[in-house]
Amino acid sequence: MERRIGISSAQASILEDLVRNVPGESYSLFDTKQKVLMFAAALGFHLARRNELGSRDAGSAIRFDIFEKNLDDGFVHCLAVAERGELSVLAEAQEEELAGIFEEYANAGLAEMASRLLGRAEPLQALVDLMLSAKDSAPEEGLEGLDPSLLNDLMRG
Amino acid sequence: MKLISLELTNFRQFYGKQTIDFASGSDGRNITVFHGFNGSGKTALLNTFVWCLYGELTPDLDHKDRLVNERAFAEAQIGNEVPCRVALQFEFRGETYVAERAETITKTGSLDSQKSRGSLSLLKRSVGGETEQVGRDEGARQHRIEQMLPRSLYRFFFFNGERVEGLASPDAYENIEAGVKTLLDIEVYERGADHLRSGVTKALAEEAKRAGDDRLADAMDQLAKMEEEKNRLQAENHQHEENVSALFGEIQSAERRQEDLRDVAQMATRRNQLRDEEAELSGQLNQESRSLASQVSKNGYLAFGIRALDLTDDQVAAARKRGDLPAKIKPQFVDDLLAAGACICGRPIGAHTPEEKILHKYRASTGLAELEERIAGVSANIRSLRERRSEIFEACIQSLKKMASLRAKLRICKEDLSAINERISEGNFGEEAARIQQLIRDRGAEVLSNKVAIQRNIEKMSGLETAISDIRDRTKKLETLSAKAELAKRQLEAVQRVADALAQIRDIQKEDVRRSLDEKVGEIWREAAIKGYDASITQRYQLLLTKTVGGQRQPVMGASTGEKQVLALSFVGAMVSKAKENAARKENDLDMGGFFPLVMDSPFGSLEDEYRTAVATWLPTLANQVVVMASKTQWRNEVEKAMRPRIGREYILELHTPKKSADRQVTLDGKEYPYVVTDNGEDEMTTIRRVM
Repeated sequence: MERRIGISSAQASILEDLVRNVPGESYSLFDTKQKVLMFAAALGFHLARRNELGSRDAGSAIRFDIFEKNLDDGFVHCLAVAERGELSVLAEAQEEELAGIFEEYANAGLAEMASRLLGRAEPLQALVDLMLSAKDSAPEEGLEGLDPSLLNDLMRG
Repeated sequence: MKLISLELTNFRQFYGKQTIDFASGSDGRNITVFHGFNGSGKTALLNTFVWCLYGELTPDLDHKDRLVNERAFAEAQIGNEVPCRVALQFEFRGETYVAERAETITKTGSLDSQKSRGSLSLLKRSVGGETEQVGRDEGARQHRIEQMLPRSLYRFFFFNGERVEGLASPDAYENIEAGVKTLLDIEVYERGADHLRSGVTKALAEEAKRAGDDRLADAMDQLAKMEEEKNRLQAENHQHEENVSALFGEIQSAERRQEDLRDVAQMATRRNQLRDEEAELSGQLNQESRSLASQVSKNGYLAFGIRALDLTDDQVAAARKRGDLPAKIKPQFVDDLLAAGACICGRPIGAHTPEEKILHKYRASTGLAELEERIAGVSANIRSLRERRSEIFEACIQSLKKMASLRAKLRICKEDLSAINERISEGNFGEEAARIQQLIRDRGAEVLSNKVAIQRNIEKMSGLETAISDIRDRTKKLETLSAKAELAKRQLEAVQRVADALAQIRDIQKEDVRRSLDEKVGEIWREAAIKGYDASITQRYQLLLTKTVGGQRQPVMGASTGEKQVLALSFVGAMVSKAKENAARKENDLDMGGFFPLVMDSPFGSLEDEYRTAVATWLPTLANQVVVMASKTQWRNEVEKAMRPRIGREYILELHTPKKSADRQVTLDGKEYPYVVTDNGEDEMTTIRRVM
């Protein structure tokens, strides 16, 4: 049976919300559930949190090979390598392990997104704020000498 | 005519029954003031006098067919009647009268009604206190009223201050001439002359016929007919001239409305612009949000993964350093050797030998070879992932900046829109403007056709005069057939001479009155003390301002609206004064009693600041009773200060409107009063509140 990324019942509804149109607008925050999970997993990694799945929501699981097959697969592998601290985790045999890591980060990330975005009037803004807050950890990304938090203030005005 | 009180019932903006007392002037306080916001009913109040006394309405009153109060109408049940009444109590030559005009509206649907014919009652209160109806029918009552204040003169006593300047325009001569003629009752002379020329001549023709002189009879008949025709044409022209006056009045009002609409139209255009802008900005904001969301969806995750990328890079670097990468021996190669049981050099390797153990050791250390492809892929990806990461950050920052700027612009746009919406309602002003333009064109065409008719009649009359004078000559030369006929002939000549004399007397009288009015107008104008100009009435009955330049009198070009207004008011004052003189002499059919009211809507509207105080001090002296309607902006400090000592009664036309946040106050003599009030009714209405 092909490996699927499972979603815990607690996070199933936030997953649905994020691909639906933002209330009052004509766009959604994420195009597909796969994209949500990429974001969530990256976020989970950033926060160093992994949520073990409690009860699984039956209908929400997504095939893992989707993540691997498209452009983003490099990232999924990096997550695994960073988590395990060694390259051997990339072996075929470790597929289950890979998927498990991703799954737990994703669910943790979803929980964080739920708490930050639910009920917010400007969820897109909140999402971007979240992203920008992670920027500071890599000051060599091209804006040397400029205090990034300054930019955050500009943006909010 | 001395105004005592006015009672309104459901007339125009005035809901229910409302009463007003007028300042009598007995204690030197002869001014009654009404303060009202635009639309509160100042023009309607002016119309109460004109409608009650004459059944007419001024040109600048809109929706003339809706006299009944909207709220009273809305509240009535279908099938019920709504009364609409104006009762004016006044004193004339010591007697008290109440003139009341009423109309009954029957509500036949939520918006439909049937109007009953208006009725006029005129009650006279005798010394004992009993009242009796004057005249046996409405016609008689109307006639009595017009003896006290003639219809052709009411425009000089009840008028819109902003329109009165029209009297100072060259086309107003008919109004002025008409006023002069009425004042003098010059009509008496004209009627006399007419009667002689046609009526008496006809009778003489009969005489001649009876005397058997047909030729003389024929000649007299012809003469009589031509004189009759001339009179008829004269009367027609009179009517045409009145028409022209009325039409000019309408045109002026319409032009004023056009000006107002131009302002409103400009604001409406701006509003449309703003609405377009709002839609555009909203669209752009939406677009930008959508594009940002799409970017976040695609690449947002990269924001968080930098450590993963770094750690992976480190691992790969370490593996390279260790020599694990690139893998030197493929696992498959060692597997094949083991399976073949031989070494690379070809020597056989047995199971469980030390050589086999070495092969197994190599096999174990080729671990990463399997993954080499995958690792190479990941490594290459990492570079592009890093790039995409900085790109997404850059894109987010730019997007947020753009959105903030759009939001700020949108906010301003919305504020501007709400400001405009406060000032103008929804409505198709274009339609009204077009309608008014058409009206002006139509009325202009009517004026033209009237003037053409007048000209045609003048030519016809001129032709008739020639013919008449011909016949007179011939008649003189006719030899008569008998003594009786000779007598008739001589009497005819005498009649002609008397008629000519009467016409001359009339012209002299008219000129006399014009000269005396001219003097008065000059006097009164000088008291208003403006600029060293002089005011006069020309022989063509035009009001004129002149100035003396180098010893020469020259007409003033381009007098301001305010100056024209004062000029017109001076004429009105001169008329009042002359009417008083006439009344004192009581020398004709007209008996106007000597006491005159002036009722003026917005007399201070167009005046320049420097004139306001002068005019405010001078206005109360023009007539015995002065009633003024003014808006807050017109009732400024100088005006209030000058008029306050002579105010005997003061009222506020308190406008009730369903519009939200419309409340306004007015400050009178240091105290504040409500002026516009928001209330729950569906229609606007006005309550008259007494302040003093």
